[in-house]
Formats: sequence, C-alpha cells, structure tokens
Amino acid sequence: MRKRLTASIALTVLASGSPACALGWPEVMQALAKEKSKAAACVALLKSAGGKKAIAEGQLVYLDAKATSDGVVAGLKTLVAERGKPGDLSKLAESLDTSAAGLQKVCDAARSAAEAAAGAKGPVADIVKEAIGPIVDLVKSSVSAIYSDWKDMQKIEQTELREELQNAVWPDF
Amino acid sequence: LAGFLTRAASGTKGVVEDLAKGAVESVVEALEAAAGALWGRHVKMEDLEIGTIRGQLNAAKWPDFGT
Repeated sequence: MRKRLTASIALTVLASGSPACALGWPEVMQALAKEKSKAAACVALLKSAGGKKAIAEGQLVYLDAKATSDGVVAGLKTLVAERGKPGDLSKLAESLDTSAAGLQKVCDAARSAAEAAAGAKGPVADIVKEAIGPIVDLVKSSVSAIYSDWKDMQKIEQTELREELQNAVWPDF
Repeated sequence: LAGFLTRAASGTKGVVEDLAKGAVESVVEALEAAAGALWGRHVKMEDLEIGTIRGQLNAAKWPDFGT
C-alpha cells in the first residue's frame, strides 16, 4: 500500500519533469501581470498620442476586452475554489483569446497613433509592440497543467482512499 | 492492584473486558486526536494557498480606461 503510494508519487514527480508539467500558478500570475502591464501601457499611449476618434473607439474595444478579462479572472477564482471542473478550460481559453484580441486592437491603435504623431518610425515602447499571443499561450498552458495535476492528485487520492477502506474491514472471526 | 490480581486470578471475565476496553478506547482517542490535528493543518494550508492565489488574481485585473 505504502509502496504503491510511493510509486504513484514517484511517477507524478517523473512526469512533472516535462516542461508542460513544470508550469503552475506562478507562471499564470506572471503572464497575467504582463498582460495587465501591456493593457496599462497601451491605454496610456493611446490616450496621449491618439486623436479623439481613436481614443473613443479604443475605449469601447478596451471596455469589452476588460469585461472579458475580468470574467477570466473570476473563472480562475472559481477554478481555485472548486479545484477544477470539466468543461471549464475550453470556455476559459476562449475568453482569454477574445480579451487578448481586443487588447491587441487597442495596442495596434496606440502604436499607429504614436508612430503617426512622431513620424512613421517614432519610438514605441517594447511592451506595446510585444505580441500578446505568447502571453496568452503561457496562461492557457499553465492553467491546463494545473488542471491536469489536480486530476492526477484526485485519482491518486481516490485510489488510496478505496484501498484504505478495503484494508479497514475487520477480519472474519 | 491487589483487587485486580484477585479478580484476575479468579478468572473474572469483567476484568479482561475492562482492560481490553480501556486499551482500545485510549488508542482510538489518540488516533482521533492525531487525525483531527492533521486534517486541521491540511485545511488551514489549503485555505492559505487559495487565499494567496485569489489575492494575486484580484491584483491581475486590468486597469480602467479612465476619462
């Protein structure tokens, strides 16, 4: 019984040696923080370099993207509280893509406005130019890794519990 | 002790039962206390972990567009 538990843990540890399994909450937080910084930078740039029309259009797109992003955060909080639920991941990934696409539009508008204001090759901060795809991919793969870990742990715990209960049955007289 | 030995020597069934009952009860009580302490610590750790993650997620929200 104990040997089997040790073997299960060893297998989990070995499996976690692969790059995909090394991801967890720190990577989710890191990527979300990067996305937040990008959002703040793009909004600031658009507001400082954009015309009234560009700012108004950007604001609408941003509001929509932020609402979706807030939904992602709320979804992640539920995921933490309930330790994962089937079907959660696809919705979460979809919302992450939607909010990222909106933010990308705002950043593109900010970049265009800044370049137009300072000439075609004007200086634009790296954070605004940085592609959002890899950031979103990091969130998705990290959440997926966390979800898989939970599933593995649940399987191990259930097997252990079943065995414990079987072993707890009293012997025949 | 004298009373116990006298009863034990006379093969009184009640003494053996009392001894066995006492031993089992103390073991069960110790196990219950240990399991309770372990479970309490596990729940506390999980609550702490969840609280930290929730706090970090709240901080990850995008800023408002402003006016």
